[in-house]
Amino acid sequence: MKIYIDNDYKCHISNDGTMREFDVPFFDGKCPEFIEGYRYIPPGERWVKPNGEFFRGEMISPWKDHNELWAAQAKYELAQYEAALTAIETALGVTS
Amino acid sequence: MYGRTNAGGGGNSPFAFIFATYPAGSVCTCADGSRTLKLKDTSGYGVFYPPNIGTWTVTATDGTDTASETVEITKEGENVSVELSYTLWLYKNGDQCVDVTGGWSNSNYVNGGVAYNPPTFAADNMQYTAISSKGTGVGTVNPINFKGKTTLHLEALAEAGLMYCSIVSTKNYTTPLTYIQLTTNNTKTEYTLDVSAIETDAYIFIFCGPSGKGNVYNVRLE
Repeated sequence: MKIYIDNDYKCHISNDGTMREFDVPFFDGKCPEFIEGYRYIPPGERWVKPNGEFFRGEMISPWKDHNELWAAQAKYELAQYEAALTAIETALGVTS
Repeated sequence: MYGRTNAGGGGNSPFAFIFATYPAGSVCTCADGSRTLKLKDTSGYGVFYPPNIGTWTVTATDGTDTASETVEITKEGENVSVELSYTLWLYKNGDQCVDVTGGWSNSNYVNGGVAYNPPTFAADNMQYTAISSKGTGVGTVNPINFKGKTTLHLEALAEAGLMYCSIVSTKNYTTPLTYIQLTTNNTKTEYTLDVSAIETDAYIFIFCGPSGKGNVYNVRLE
């Protein structure tokens, strides 16, 4: 999935004109809230924290509480499932 | 909230400042060899007011683990920050750190429906040599508590193919919580993985794909 990273390697689903674009399969099927809670460090690059600690790419790690991100993703998948089920029921003329 | 230390010296203004962050519940001190300052509480945050220039060592201990860092105060009014954490070894040159990890095993680890063969457990490292039809991988038998930890350190050598270190919430998974891909440079390298946003129990799983080859020497959390 195409994502965009800012100068702090945080992921975004749209480009504000300053970001770089990457195709990252890890984010396939993931909702915007999940994606935007992660950092992506491309191969060959380094993210340096303010305390000097550095992390080499390729690395993908959450910067928001991962429990919140996964809860958002679960809610998104449930909504998708319910929408698909409704579409099927409509097509079959079935009412619940 | 910061606890005030024994400031020492004269005058109303502190000579210098050392801001310390350390594991809550620990005793934290700061010493230059001739004087020792101690924070009044064990909250995990505090400020030391060193009364003179010199080399000051900040130390935290909970009675079992100890961590320390040395800083230089070179002039009046200087302020420096120190962040201390305890190292949790998960694998150390052949030692599987069973008390913490329960051992390292491929048992029950499935990634997107794919299982893995185990590596060879040599005297001082885990040797990954994957066959062409199946990857090699092991993870911790026990879940590891990541609360308060910020970085996973891995010393490894990736010789061929694709090799990864991942953190997963369950052993049978499709998407890891986080991962790093090792660089296939045939060189023993220290890798770091940011785990600061993971505050629960999770497993560490290190694997390579079919025909992959490499070695894992050390794994620790800080």
